[in-house]
Amino acid sequence: MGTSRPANFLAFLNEIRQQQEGGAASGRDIFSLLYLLADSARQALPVGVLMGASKMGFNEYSDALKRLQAGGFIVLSGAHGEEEVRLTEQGANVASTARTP
Amino acid sequence: MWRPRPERPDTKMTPGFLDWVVVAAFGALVGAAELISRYRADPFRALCTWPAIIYLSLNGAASLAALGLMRLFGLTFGQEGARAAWMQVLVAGTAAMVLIRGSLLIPRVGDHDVPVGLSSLLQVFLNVAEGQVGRVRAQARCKPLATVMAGVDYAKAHHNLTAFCLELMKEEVPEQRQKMLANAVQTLDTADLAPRVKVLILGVLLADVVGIDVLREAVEVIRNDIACE
Repeated sequence: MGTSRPANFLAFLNEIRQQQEGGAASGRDIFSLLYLLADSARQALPVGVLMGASKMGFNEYSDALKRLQAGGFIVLSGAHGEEEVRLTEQGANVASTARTP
Repeated sequence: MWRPRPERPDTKMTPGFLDWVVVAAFGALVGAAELISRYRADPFRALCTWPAIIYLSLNGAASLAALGLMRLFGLTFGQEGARAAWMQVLVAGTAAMVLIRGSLLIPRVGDHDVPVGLSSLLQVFLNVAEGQVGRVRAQARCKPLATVMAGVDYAKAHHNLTAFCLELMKEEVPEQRQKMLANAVQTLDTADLAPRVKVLILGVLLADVVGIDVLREAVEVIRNDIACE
């Protein structure tokens, strides 16, 4: 018998929480990165441009990118030094729902 | 008595109406395939937006133009008659794809390569179609989701409802997807959003994984445990 899936989900959640406890504190809403991407013409921006627009510090920004990528909201693509952050379909859905009046 | 008709040699081109229809359909089909590959979740809705229709028309028009040019310059590819006509249709369809998706030059502006050509124009329509499809889908999804998640307390539901939905679909949701969902829920937990919005986003995340029908059932079954007080 395999382990039941919900136990896996909760185990994953606990593991993620423990990992994030020691991470950079996020004082800003990391979903703001999704809004910036959703407002861009191609729903994608170069990593540097997005960081400038986000007004986040380096550690906070890289932590936010990691979290959003792990959650399936964004994907990173492109050659080294020319990486681009792209909104996934789920990320676009969440961005539009979050801004629903 | 029936006798087989003697085969007539193809002595002239047959540029019939059908050729133009087929070549336009060929071009539009290529555009449709491109859109469908982008919007696998809801391809029909994607194809029914105005930017998508313009995009398909542009593809069809490019194929028609390519066929017209071939006929104008008499390119027959070594074939004769009907064979030449169909060869032109085939080549016009594929050549147009290369023509309108290619770039004449790619100058570097700042840190970016900017392709100059018809592909840029197509990209504009693709981007507009993308935004339009996103808005249409968000509007279509928002109402049913708001109904399903009405009266649900985020603080009670975020773990319980997620775990229950996954239990209902345990054979269909791979571990990798569960891990991603756990990351997404954790990100949502820490997001600076109103609980009402968080509940809706939780609905979006769960509906993406298990579908809105399973989500509706799950909410109804454990409603007493996750309802607002």
